[in-house]
Amino acid sequence: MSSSSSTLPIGFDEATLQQLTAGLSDRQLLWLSGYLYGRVGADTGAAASTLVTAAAPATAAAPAAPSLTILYGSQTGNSKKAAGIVAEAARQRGLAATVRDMNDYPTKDLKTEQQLLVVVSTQGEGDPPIAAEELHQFLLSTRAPKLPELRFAVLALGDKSYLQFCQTGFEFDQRLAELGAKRLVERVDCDVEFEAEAHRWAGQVLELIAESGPPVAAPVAATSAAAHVKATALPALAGGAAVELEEPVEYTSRNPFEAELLEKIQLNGRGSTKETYHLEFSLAGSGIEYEPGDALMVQPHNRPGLVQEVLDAARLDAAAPVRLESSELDLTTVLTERLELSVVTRDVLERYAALAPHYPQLREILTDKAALPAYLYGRDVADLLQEFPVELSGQQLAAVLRPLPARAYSIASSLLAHAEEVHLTVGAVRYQSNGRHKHGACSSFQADHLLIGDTARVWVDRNEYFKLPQDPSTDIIMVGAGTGVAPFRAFVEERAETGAAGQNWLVFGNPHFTTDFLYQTEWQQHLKRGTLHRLDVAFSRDQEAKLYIQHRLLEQSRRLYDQLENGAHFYVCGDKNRMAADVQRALLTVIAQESGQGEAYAADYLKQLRKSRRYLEDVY
Amino acid sequence: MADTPKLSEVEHVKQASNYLRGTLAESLVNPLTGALYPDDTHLIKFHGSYQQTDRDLDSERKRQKLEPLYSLMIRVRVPGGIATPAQWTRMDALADHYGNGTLKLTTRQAFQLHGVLKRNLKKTIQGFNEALLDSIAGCGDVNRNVMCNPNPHESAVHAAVYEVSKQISTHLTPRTSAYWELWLNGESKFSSAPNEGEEDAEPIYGRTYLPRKFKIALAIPPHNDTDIFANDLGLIAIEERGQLVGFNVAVGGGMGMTFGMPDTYPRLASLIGFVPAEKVVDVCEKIVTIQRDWGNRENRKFSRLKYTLDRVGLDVFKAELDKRLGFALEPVRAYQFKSSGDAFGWSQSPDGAHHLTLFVEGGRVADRPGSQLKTALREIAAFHRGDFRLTGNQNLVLANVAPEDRLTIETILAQYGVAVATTSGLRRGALACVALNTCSLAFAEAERYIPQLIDRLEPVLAAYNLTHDDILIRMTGCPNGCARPYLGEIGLVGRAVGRYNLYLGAAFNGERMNKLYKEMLDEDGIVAELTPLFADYAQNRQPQEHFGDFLIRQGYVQATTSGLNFHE
Repeated sequence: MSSSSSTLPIGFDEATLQQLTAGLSDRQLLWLSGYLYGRVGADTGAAASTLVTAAAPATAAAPAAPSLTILYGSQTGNSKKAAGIVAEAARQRGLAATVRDMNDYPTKDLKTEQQLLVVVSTQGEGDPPIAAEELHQFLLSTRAPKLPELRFAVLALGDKSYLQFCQTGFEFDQRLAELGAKRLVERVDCDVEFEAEAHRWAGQVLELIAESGPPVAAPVAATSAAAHVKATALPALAGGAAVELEEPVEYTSRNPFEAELLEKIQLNGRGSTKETYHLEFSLAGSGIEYEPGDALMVQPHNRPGLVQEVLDAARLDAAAPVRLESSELDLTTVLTERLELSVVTRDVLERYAALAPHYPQLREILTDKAALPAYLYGRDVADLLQEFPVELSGQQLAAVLRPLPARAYSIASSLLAHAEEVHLTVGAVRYQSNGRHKHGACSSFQADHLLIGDTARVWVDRNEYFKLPQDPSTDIIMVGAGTGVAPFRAFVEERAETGAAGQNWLVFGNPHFTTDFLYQTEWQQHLKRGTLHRLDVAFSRDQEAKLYIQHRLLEQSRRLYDQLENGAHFYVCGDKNRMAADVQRALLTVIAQESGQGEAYAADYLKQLRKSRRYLEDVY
Repeated sequence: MADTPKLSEVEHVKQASNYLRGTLAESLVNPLTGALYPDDTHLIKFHGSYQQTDRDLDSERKRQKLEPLYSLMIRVRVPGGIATPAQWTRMDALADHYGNGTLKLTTRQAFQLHGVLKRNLKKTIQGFNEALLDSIAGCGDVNRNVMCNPNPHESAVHAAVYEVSKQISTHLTPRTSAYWELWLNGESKFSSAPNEGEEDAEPIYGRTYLPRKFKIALAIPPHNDTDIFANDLGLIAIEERGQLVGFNVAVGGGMGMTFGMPDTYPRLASLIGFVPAEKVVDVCEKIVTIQRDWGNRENRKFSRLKYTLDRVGLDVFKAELDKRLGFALEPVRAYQFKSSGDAFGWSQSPDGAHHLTLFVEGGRVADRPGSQLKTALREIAAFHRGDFRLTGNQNLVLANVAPEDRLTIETILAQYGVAVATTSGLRRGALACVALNTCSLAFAEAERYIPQLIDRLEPVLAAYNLTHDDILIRMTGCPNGCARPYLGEIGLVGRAVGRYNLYLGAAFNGERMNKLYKEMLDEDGIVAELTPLFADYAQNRQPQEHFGDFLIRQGYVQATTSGLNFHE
């Protein structure tokens, strides 16, 4: 082993290394290599961005050289990714830019900005991401300064199926203009697939900036700033070896990986009202890496039954030819694989209404914004075609409908525990509406259509923030109902494999103990082995009074507050409307009660938790 | 210390349990599992309950990452088998509310609920208590439910004998306050608990109770439907001039054995003397204390009184009993048993009351398509002014029916498709234990399967014109003997799923055990083996000769005359 020590960097010797790594398994070593790589990237990145901001005033003496800041507000990491795309585009043009996160952005800095590119997403029904809340509130308030010197542009991210599509980006854009800032280019609103739009927008706006003279900072710093984004965006798991050897194939929506289904298990016992599946996909040969907290995108096919119903309702031939993105396909294939049928969104309804001007009712539905969500809820394309029949061709139908999107599932496994596999916990969505049986497109695709041995098209969607604490000794509190327990299975597996010293506390809820205790025997094993330290359960329907997760949190008030005071990270995953709000309310009660300092204090406490990314949500 | 025996695990659990408490209080509230802590699974038996799993689902649930579907079987003591209509109504409701919707009438005249989830156990026991029923000592190393034959119409002394059975039951009920503390929030209705602040004490049992279960049954000849010889302690009522004078005492009966261990065997109780009625409770207590002191506490397979007796010898045992009593038992008095089965249908007693003995297949009171026995009995319980009597053969007597209610009862039974006694002699005498899917000991099916087997055998019997002959068939899923299979003229004991050992030749009146005839038979094998025997019986039996006696006379099997030659 003496030869290997000669390759060690100065300051290291074999004995020290042995001491540091004693008792670690191969997996743990592999993990550690990635972790250290990621940490170096993060540290140098942070240092680089400090350098850039510090350097700006020093070089301000140089004439007519406005600074360029790319400011992002991200919830799931997509805006951060988009900011990275813009930064990379700037670098390629030799433009120096500072990339900053709204979460850590002091509002007073706004006055000193000269050229500002805002990348921000919208959450739910028009809310800013948590990271952007403070800046957004400040900007929209009367305290916001006039910004006559500022030149800016906004790239807005969102999801077209929501009514308040890209609302936050819209508000940033409007308000900056109101404050006197000069808009460089028109705002662009991106749907779920944002990459192409981001590239286009970046090209357009950076072209203008480049024409007006190069910014000051040295290209070297710009590179570091861009690298900062890239380095932290890369999963620590990507590990030294994989990154250094070659650029791995990147699997995306454009280039999904065909993952074989290895195992499918119905997790609910007989007699349950729930239908939850545990699915295990193979990633063998893909080189795909992910971290606990990431999501897997799964590209579904529509159900044959639904496709038939749509064909029948439209009175169209199953084999009718349709041209889609320069390829000629038959209508059945298009409806099965390419277009969304199980959901009707506002944009689809608008395009359909344009084809059917003789239905004034459609216009009314579209103009009554308050009533629109209720109308759309539970309606699918077959409903729409039956309710407002029109003569249309297959080509026209295809033009009305939106692309069939992939669905994101919180990954339920750790690669350290299951090499080259990814596990999901999928709840089959089934209900009746408009007199028809409805099935969630992707959940039923996995529950009913996909058999063991079949493949599904998948890729990883990184979740930038919903991650385990960097410090393995930090305690974590995981709160999940139903399939919301998925990422916590990944968390606990990961911390078990790495031997993290922090306490792992899980709070789980579902209707019934005997049938709905998802992963019960795994949790029991983790408890026995000491890799799960506490498990509280709330089975809502097992007693007369319904009992939910938030009741358990309130019962454990003191313990919960003590752990938060001790630096614990608090994670919530599951249903946004029914659970997340209740959990947050319970947490506020706990903080107010245990601190003895009242509600305002609790609200601020929680806000600080959010800002410091110790209160993290993965809700849907 | 050299002579200190190496106690079995359960003995240590009992010793440390603080009079049957253990960690049950914590076990019950642990929300992460439907099971109790392992030590508590021994202690819960003393409170009347066994932890079980739905074995049909074990492997399926394992794959689903769910623990086995744990539930508790809970046994309610009914000394002498007599329950009031109010108690019946309560048990019926509890079965629906917390159990699996059925009531099991056991071979020891108790009620069993199955499928009670841990979190509902306390509420279930509170439900018993409100109806003045309890489950304490339903199972465990104590005296279990005291049996007494229920036929009120057959003997003027029944009331006196039934009183004795209740006295014995009360006298031998554990005194620990743990039952009240755990289940009834400390309130004691039949105060056997000490006063507040006092430590528990068990004057009869002591801190570690008995080495093993202990069973007592009483019978009034000529009926032996309580199978007294299968009990640790059997009492045969002796009446003179219409008065109960006392009991013949038989000790050391027990059915259980273990395959592959010839040292284990079923044994019928040995008669040791006669005791006057007023001293019988004392005799029971002293026999219990001898077993407490002398029974094997190292290996539970040899802990029953029958092994203690065969180890020390009957004479030594009797001498010790006389010593502890301070008097000697008198010589055994004459008696005669004629049958161990039930007589179905209506009967009338001298006082003019009517009684209806109903056949309950497998002892399972349930609503099935075409026969809603459970609903019918619930409706009857609403107006019936007499009582409900559970027989030792898993059947039910509606006793002391007012003459004007008789027609109503018949109408209700007919309305719900309940046949009174239209079945074959083989079926109506059949006994089966619960076995799969809930009993953890079972190797094979019993209660769920025996009706199908009888479906196969009935045409054979019909072909030989034996449909109406009473032939005792008994089936268990393991050799431990809950349905007293070694007292069946045909005994079937499960070895593996779908495979049974066939035992033949027990006496119809319960006074002789059967003997192994064939091993590991499947259904076709059972039918093939029995068919020629039925044929021979139909053709060559003597008048009044029972099937078991016939098989011995014809030499198919040797008579078993003692537990010690059961395996020969």
